[in-house]
Amino acid sequence: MKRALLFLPLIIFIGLGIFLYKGLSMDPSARDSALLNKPLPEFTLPRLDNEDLKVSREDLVGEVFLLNVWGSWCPTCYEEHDQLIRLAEEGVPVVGLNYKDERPKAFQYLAQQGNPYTLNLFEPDGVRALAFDLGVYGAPETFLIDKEGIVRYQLSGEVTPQLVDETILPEVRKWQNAQ
Amino acid sequence: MAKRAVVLLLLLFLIPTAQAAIELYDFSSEEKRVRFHELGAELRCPKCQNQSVIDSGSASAYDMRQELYQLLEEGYTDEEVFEHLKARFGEFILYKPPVRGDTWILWFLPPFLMLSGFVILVLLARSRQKQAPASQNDSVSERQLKLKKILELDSEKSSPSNSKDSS
Repeated sequence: MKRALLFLPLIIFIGLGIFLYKGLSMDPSARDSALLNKPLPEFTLPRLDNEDLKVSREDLVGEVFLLNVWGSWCPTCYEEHDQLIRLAEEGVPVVGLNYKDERPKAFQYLAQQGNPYTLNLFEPDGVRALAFDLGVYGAPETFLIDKEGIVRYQLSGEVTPQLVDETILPEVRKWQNAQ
Repeated sequence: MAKRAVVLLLLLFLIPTAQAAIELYDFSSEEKRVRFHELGAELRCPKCQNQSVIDSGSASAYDMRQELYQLLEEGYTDEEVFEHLKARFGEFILYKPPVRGDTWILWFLPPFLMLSGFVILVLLARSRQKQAPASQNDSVSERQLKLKKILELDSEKSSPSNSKDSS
């Protein structure tokens, strides 16, 4: 009995080792959005290209679409831009949410990188509207909204070619075919 | 010259304070100002891994402070503030997670480990106390004799090599 007890520290050590080793391969910033399976929040925001034209939730909801949060200040947005263009070419409506940006810089970005967006909303620094209510804390971030206006998928970070093929396009088709 | 250099070096200490963002919040009551700082310290900045909304200089923490200020001015209770922000940013932002099936380990493992450590310590101390008298049976003179023998043995072994080194 006493002998067996001597092994206790070793067992605890091994257990702790496994637990901590597993932690090494986990991404501490990965977490599910609080908005998953919740309705897209109400909002009224101006268009990026025309500040007098206001867009609200009712204008967007009806068909399945992607909402992509971006800014010309965000390096990963440049990385993923080709994938957004590809999604647009596949016929997926991509609504842009220009986040903490300035209009001239955003226009330049779209002119240089191409414009895959059906329309762009403008939420500059100091405004807390749709992006804040969606729990956005950085860019890029991408949301999939179904026909009923419910958030069905959310991604913080880069839209990679693999994600488009394996997750985003199948999800879009799934919700497009849903009743 | 040296004095001037020291003064310049000391001025370096002012850089962090000069760069810290100065935000002015005009609270309608002192009680709200206190709550702002209390709640802000319990809210984790969504962008950072481990900084409170009050401590962080990130843009999203700034937005959170603005929102917190607005909510307090609108008369939200502490509970409502947490609910409002949790609905947007998730439980990640709460430094005090709720006690639930999947969080009990966070709450109860540390006190459990502390308690069991204390119990083990007490048990060890007790068992030592029982063993101790047996090994201290030798009288003082006997122990001194033993010590002398050890010292003699030691000096016999080391003396030849020592004399070589010193010559």
